[in-house]
Amino acid sequence: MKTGKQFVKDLEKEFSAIYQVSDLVARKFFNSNPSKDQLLEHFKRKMFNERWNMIELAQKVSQLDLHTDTDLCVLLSKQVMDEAKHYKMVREVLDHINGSPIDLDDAHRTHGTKNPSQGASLIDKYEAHGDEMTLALYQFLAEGRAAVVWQTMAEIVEDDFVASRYSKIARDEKFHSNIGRMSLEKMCDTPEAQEKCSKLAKEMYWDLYEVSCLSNTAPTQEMKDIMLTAYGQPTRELAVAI
Amino acid sequence: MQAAQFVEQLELNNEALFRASELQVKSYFDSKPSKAELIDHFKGRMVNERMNMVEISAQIAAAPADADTTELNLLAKQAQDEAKHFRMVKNVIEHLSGEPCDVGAAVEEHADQLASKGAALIKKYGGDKNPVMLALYQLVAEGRAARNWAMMSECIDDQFIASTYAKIAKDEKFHASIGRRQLMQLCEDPVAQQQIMEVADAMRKDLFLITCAKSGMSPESKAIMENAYGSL
Repeated sequence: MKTGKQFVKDLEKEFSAIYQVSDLVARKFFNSNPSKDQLLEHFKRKMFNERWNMIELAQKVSQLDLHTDTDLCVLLSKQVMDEAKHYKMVREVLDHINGSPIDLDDAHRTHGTKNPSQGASLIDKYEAHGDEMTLALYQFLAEGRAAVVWQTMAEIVEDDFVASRYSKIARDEKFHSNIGRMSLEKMCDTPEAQEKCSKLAKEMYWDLYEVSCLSNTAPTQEMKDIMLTAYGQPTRELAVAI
Repeated sequence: MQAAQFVEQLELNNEALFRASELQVKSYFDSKPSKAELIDHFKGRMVNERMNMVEISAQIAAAPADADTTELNLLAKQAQDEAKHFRMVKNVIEHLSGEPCDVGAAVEEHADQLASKGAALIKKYGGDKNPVMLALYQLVAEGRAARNWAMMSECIDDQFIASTYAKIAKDEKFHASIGRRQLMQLCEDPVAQQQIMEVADAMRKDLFLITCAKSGMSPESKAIMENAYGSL
């Protein structure tokens, strides 16, 4: 049997396909020279995704089991703080693109409800499992994917103000992914746990594929091929083409 | 009254509570408590830091749609500080006892005393629903905590513990400044000023009684409190 650490290291190698697709989706959107309105729309969704992450994690910290390790309390509350910072940073990016402060109340009315193009919408689905492993895997995989996407945006965007913020967010997301990794390494210490985690990951790749494609752009053949080659046929009907 | 003037007055009126609490802390450590007493004392403090982490995180989770992004950042910073303090006090307990501290068991041990922790006052005064009350709690309770931790840092000879407490004191002072910042905005409204005037002295007395819960009340600190806020 693999150790938890070795299992997680091997699992991470599987992530490259969904990360590559997410990178391609972000590039396709920004290379299409989106209009100011399209950019505002895009970043309003991103801003509220950060807000939802902050809210969900703060709720988790407020309900942590009494025996939760103090290191994990510190790491999770650090992530809440990062998400709050990101919420503020993306808001500043929106103000910058808009040329004047956006109306936050109005943005909340139009974009404040979770929708399937936001990664945070998956938290509800996984919370419903009531399962720590699902949440740790989400953190490891989805925050890692977020790091890739923010870094891609930081590289593509020409505006230095925007690029510097995205680069900072990308670094933080990588750190959050590592919190999930640490939890999984502890949890995946039996063959049963490893099997369960592998199965969950296979579902999550397709969930994240849907989120990527719904948020920005229809998938290209190249993206579909990458997904199918890496993960085989999805086991359920998807909301986007494959 | 203008908000700045009102908040300045509020801070001046906190001074008696802060001084009386410092005297209580000094008196406790001057009494040379045993190692077992100290460990129990710090377990109580650890549980209080955990409660603060939980309560402030719950505030963030319930933030209204129009909550200011800077305000949310500051609250999130405070929640993280409280989590760090939770861990720091745990480390102090382990340093004192020389063995690992079971935090879950400590929280359970203190479960029947949760209502007597400072953090319980957030709910008692409606800080979980009313931002004016949360800001007042931050200014008064965190300001008092800053002075108490600083006094503990001075009273304790052990360098590891003293430096840990000095760091916590610094953070608590920052948390009090979050309350001050928020009150400066909210107290432009006379209704908010009235709400505060109605409860501020009661909150100060509650905080003082929490400080005295274990150590008893010294006549000097009692006199300071009663001169400032009326009979306890």
